[in-house]
Amino acid sequence: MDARLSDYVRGQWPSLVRYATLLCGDAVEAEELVQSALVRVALRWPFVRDKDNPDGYVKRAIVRGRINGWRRVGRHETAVPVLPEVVVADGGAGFDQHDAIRRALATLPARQRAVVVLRYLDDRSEQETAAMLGCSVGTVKSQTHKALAKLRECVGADGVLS
Amino acid sequence: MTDIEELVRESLRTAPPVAPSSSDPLGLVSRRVRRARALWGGGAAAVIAVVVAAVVVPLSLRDSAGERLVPTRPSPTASPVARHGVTTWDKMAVAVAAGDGYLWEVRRDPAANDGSGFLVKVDPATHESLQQWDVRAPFDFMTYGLGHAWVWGGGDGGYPDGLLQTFDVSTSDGCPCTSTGYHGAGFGDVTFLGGHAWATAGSQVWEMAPGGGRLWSHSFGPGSAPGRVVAVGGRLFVQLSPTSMQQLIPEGDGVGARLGVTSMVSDAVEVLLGVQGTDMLLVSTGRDVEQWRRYGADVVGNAVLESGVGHVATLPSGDLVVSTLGFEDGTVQPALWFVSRGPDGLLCPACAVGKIVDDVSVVSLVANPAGGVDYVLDDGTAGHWQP
Repeated sequence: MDARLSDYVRGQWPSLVRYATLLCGDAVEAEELVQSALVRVALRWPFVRDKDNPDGYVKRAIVRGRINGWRRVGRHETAVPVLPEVVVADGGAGFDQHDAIRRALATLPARQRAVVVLRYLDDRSEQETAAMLGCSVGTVKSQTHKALAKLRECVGADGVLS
Repeated sequence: MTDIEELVRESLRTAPPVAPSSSDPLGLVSRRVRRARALWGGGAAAVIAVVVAAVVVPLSLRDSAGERLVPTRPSPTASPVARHGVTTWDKMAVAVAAGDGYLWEVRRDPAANDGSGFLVKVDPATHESLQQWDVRAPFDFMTYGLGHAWVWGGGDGGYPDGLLQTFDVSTSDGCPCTSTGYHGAGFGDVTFLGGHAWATAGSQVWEMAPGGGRLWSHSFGPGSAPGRVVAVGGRLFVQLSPTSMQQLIPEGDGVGARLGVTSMVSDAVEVLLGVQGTDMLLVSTGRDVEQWRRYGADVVGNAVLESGVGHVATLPSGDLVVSTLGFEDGTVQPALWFVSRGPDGLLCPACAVGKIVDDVSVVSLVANPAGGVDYVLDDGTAGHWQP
């Protein structure tokens, strides 16, 4: 592999896995997602424009891989009525609002979760998000609305938000 | 922006770090890249930027509800699950080959932390594991010939030195195998001609004894990177780069046979796919499969697929099963295809082409002696398709 891509993989691996975990909700699946995305980027490396900063290209490949995963195994993924247990980073303080949001995020259907990550972590516009997910802007809007409503409801039920 | 939007944004940005389970992500990625690049022989990645073929005609490979066949993704411990002609199982597979009436598969050992695994003799009809031998890392590819299984890997970011392991599978106890290392480079491919094995290694092609061990080598010169090698009609065909292939004719059939003639065959081949019958080469110049007779002088058959071609297996009927690579932008997925022959027995642009499995990245594909094909995906899933 090109030395710049090798350096990127060494340096960014943990953050890419974190990004993919937010996207798919599972750390193990996230590592596979990142691996596959990096393989695809490595094969396309001669055509990557910004070789010194391939972050956007790699994240796009992760999202595309995730979308393809939905098409392949999407049937197996369903939203669960009960919030899963998660390890809290700040054990002394217990759940805070951010923890509650992240726990609620894990209960969203895959597409809604991806919309939330692209819109609010990557700061992508509705148009960019639609292009990334291969759907219409209207779908992005409706999925965002549903996701935020669900998050508000889940967090409210936890009593974290007033 | 609303309160909930602000809270979501902040929550995502303050998400705690995740501790990845892999301690060598670069090695993992490098190995997978190398396996994928092997599709292009010499190692350079080619990009197939072509439009979707209009001649793709889906066959009736659907279930009773009309749903397209897709592979299941079972856990590593799952038993094979039949699903409308497509069967998939474990996620530890690396490569598969056929020979002497059996399937031969190399698998990673999920319990090993040194990358080691197993060579497994597999019943082609039931896919039951019959016997196994230990395999050292690295191993990414395999073939079968001269009564031996040949397993190789390395020469990449994870394992800088190549390793070729040869297994005498006639033995029932232990493993009288030979291991041949190659410093600083990997092995590309192995084929068989004149009672010897021929392996591409670094910038060379090696002639090897039936049980392994280098007898003689021919160098293609500094900077060259021979990849795939096949034998047909008493000649060797070696892919030197994504756009060139050489024809080698060994003189004599004893130890230390020499290459009497070396000539350029083509400057347009992207993938040297294999051989068909006794006198046909299968190559790809993009998203097609071409049949070359008389060693490249004539293109006698041609079938067009949806994207770049990776692997081909010839069924006993003469029809082909072909894996394609898909487009990098995700608009076309990698897949496995059935390609029928035309009325004259040759491939043709109008030949029926039907998708067997969508969205699968095949790294190893072989005709099953009991019928159909067996394949391995890049995520380690092994599968079988029965027409």
